[in-house]
Amino acid sequence: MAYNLERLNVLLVEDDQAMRALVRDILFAFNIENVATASDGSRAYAELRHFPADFVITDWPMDPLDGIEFTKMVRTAADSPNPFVPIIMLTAHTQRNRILEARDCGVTEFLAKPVTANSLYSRIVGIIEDPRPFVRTSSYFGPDRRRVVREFMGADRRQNSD
Amino acid sequence: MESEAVIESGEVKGGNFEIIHPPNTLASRVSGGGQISAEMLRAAEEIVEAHTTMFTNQSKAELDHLSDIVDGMVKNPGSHAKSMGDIFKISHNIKGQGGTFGYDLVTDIAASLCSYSENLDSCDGNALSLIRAHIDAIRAVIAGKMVGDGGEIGQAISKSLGLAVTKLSD
Repeated sequence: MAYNLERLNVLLVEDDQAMRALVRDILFAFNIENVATASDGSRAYAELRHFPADFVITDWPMDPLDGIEFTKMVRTAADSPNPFVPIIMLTAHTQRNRILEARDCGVTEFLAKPVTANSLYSRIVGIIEDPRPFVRTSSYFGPDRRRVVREFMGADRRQNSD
Repeated sequence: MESEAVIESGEVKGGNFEIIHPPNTLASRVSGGGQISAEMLRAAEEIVEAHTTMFTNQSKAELDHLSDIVDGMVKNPGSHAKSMGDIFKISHNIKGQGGTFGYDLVTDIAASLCSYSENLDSCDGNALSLIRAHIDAIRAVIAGKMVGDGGEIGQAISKSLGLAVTKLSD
């Protein structure tokens, strides 16, 4: 059995029309019907004022406001409607320095393009089952950047199967 | 009633910090659990297939745009920094889309163009030819509906472009 996600509200921020339509419709396939869309960060920030998003999926390069600047605004702007909202960054960037840059501005999870239904679903499950605490210091506010490696406490079922 | 955030505070060498555990409102709005269902996967596959035409049409327009940029660079051989930035942006977009719509080879070739264009400020004739070769290869893959990795021919094309990028980048 999969999660019943039908009560969730999702804000999808993507400037590419084909990708936006695809991700929106995959969310529909997950029975998430309340999907608001925006084509850049500034429109998304305005949308967030009246749309109670449970999580956000955002692309990185967009004009005029990209996904990085949008995330910074959500996390730290004085008038942010929800600084704690989980943000999944959809990106074709794979270089370590780019990923660290996004992490340091407050992104919760990354979803690498090419996108698959499996990868999108697993990121959603990740933010449901393993929510990250937030850290506030003089120079950073956002999800804890240290990954928690949970110790596996159960029996190794692979050894017991077959 | 929603529970409130739990806040721990402390002090380290660099100053004060707070660790905030917001209430998990997301978990309270879902039910069930587990892996993606076969029904969801099937529906998603149908959706990807239905959107492929939009992807191929949009890619053709983006490839035309790339060709126009290269034509402009030939006509104006001065600084190419702005044009290279545009080539990077468009190829980066195609890189992200290709595999999503089943065109893994498009992603491979676009990734090669992306990495080549990212650090170039100006191009000589060889560099412009190599950029054109990438554009033509992506165009051929889409026109030939070479989904997946493109088989032996597709991989040979991808490999030869990669070798040319390495050679010109040295």
